[in-house]
Amino acid sequence: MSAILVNSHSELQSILKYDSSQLRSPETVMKLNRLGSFHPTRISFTRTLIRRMHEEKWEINAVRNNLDENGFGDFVYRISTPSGDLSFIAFSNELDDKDRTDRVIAEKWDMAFTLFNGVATEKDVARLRAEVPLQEAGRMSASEIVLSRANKSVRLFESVVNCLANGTQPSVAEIAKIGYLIRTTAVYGNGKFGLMDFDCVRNMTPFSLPFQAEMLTVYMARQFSLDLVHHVAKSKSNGNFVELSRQLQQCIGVGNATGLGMAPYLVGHPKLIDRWIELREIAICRVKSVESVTQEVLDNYVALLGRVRQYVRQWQTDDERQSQRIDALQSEVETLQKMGCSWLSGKFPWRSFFEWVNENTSTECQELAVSIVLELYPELVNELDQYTALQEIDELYPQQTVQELKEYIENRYQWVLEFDFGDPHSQYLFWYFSQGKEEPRLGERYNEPGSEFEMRIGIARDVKSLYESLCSLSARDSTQTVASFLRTNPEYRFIVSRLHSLKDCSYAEIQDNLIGADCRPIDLLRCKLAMFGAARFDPKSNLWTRITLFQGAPLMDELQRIDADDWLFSTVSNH
Amino acid sequence: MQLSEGELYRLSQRVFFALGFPAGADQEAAMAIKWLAAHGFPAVNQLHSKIPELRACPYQSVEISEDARGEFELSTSKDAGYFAVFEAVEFICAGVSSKEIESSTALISGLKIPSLLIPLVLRWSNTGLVFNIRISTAHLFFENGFLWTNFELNKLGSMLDDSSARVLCNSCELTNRKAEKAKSELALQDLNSYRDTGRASGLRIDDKIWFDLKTVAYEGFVPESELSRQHGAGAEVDDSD
Repeated sequence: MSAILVNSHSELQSILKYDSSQLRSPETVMKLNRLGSFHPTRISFTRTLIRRMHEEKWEINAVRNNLDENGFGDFVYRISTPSGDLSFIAFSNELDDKDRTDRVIAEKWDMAFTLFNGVATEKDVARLRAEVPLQEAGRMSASEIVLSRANKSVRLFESVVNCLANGTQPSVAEIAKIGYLIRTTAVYGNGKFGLMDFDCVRNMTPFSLPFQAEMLTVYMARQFSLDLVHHVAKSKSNGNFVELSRQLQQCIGVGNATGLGMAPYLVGHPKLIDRWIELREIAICRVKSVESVTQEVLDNYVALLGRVRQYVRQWQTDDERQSQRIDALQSEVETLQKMGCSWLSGKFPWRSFFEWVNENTSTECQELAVSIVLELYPELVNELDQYTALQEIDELYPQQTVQELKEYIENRYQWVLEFDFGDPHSQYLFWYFSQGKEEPRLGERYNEPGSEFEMRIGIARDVKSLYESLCSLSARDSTQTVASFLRTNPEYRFIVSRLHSLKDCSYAEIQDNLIGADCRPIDLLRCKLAMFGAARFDPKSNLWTRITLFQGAPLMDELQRIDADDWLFSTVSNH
Repeated sequence: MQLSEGELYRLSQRVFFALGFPAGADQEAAMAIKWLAAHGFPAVNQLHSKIPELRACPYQSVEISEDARGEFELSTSKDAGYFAVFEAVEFICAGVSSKEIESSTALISGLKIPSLLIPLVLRWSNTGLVFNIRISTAHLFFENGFLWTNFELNKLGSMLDDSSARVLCNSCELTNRKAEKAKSELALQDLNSYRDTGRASGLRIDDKIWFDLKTVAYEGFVPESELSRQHGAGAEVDDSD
């Protein structure tokens, strides 16, 4: 599957033939509360990857096991695709508990990975052994596509090792509670630390869609976690070793700890975000246009609701807010189950469905409903994932007059004008990179130094400031061009260019104040993680969350199964 | 050492940000560095060597005036300082009322590239315009909806071999009058070929220059402190679970 590169909005509209006015409005969708309620769908990146691996018959084989009896050493997989071979190389290291942290500022990890373009030789592995475990402090080459690392879930890893070494299966409840043996703490791509640039990745490797290489790396990390746990258990056993049951293996995903770094990405790549959200909205629109529903779809709907109910029941978190949302969701899903499917037999059933859901359930449930209904229509939805790539080029229209720019803000950024940035609470927070390993952090503007170095996250404030500056111009100055205005006001260059660049992108801006005292970064993280395909959101604070990826996905030797694409909301019980 | 184009862009942007370039101008200047370096021009070395001057004479806007003949004169309010040529480009594009202009796009020697490539290539000083790459004259003119320039670039090969690729320019004109398209001695395929090679193997940068640039970039980050550490995601937990 290759990307269909469509950069212009009008071209996308003519290819996919949809009516923008039929999509949910940006005012509805682009609010933090809703973005923070997203769930994975069939066009999430993990799903796209697994479908592609299935359709193109990718083969994955372990080709080198250089682990000692404790599971330390290196391990290599070869991934054969129709577009060329890749290697996934894992380095497993001994780590003192006191050094184990999921934060960016960590300097040691249980394991480190790289996705290598081609077949890695002994010499390549030797070179990478010296660099990959160092992560940010190492130096990659243009042969490597992704760099990542992970820490063990010590409680589950050790427990599973002991069970398997003693010839027993671990407790299903324990697997269900945690869901992963390892959790990644960073997955770097796109040229960082010397890695291959995305332009090259697009042209020289099998990955022309965004984040597919990163998702493959995480998928392979999951496979490695299983092979590692088997390897260590076998070494420790006295001949009683058993493999983890197939059912439990499938229910092992990869954990991930995600913090503030993901939020600047969402704000800094507005055209990509616009495209991803718009494709999701187009999918919803297509499904709503279905005139009548077949019995097969109704059966699938009922079965999926049952699976979702179990998924929600097993979704555990210590976070009070999310716990309350899950409780409400549980009861809402039960209500939907009780309603059965006879009410969906009329014309345009999914329009009625969404109307009811939107009027009677929480935002969390409304977005879950989106995932459920999209799942029922692969023929309408799957093709959209080919359009997730585009080239982000900044634009600027120097000949526009200042008056025109002002009117543009009044029309398109009305939501910004409602904020009062004179109120200290409205810009209480500032986002910044720390000199400590460039870790992204969130500071309190009036209590901490460093706000002069803040990241460009306060889009609403910047647009409002520009607007007020434009309003303060005399009538004569309002006729000047943007070019002239920027020569005397270069501090607005970034925001003017952003406004111009996004003129056709309705879903590009998060329509909330991201520097206000009540901003919850966790909502931004969840939006992007759901697009990746993450599930079981487990917020640990307002700043970061743990999630699980690939739980329920086919294992590397199951990719050719006919049901390889059917794993949304998988749980231990329904596998 | 080896680095990627994306990495060079991020590093350059952070350097310009730390040196006080306005938001947006830092990104465009970084794009210029990335493009030039990717096509074999010694942009990283030039940026490195210019850091003291950039500190002393920070970014300033260029002043542009048009005379009766329709020619433009560039000046700056200070004696010396870097200015963004994209401002001049935009000014001219805006001055020539053409709805065909999609953005301030320049064609440099037949290569369609954004005008943002040009900043940092030019420096205004008491001695005239200094071109940090090997350009003997600069002549910008507007034609067919695009801004053109007849920078007379030497061949790529000789440019790469020349470590002192810095030539004083005695004249610079900006005009919106029609002019003949300049012939370039720099072949497009040479540029593309250089870039393809660089992409396959990564860009090369001197270790010391890399270290120096990173040091400047860090000036744009917030210094580490215990309070700051507590405000990072995950500060409150034990991850050994």
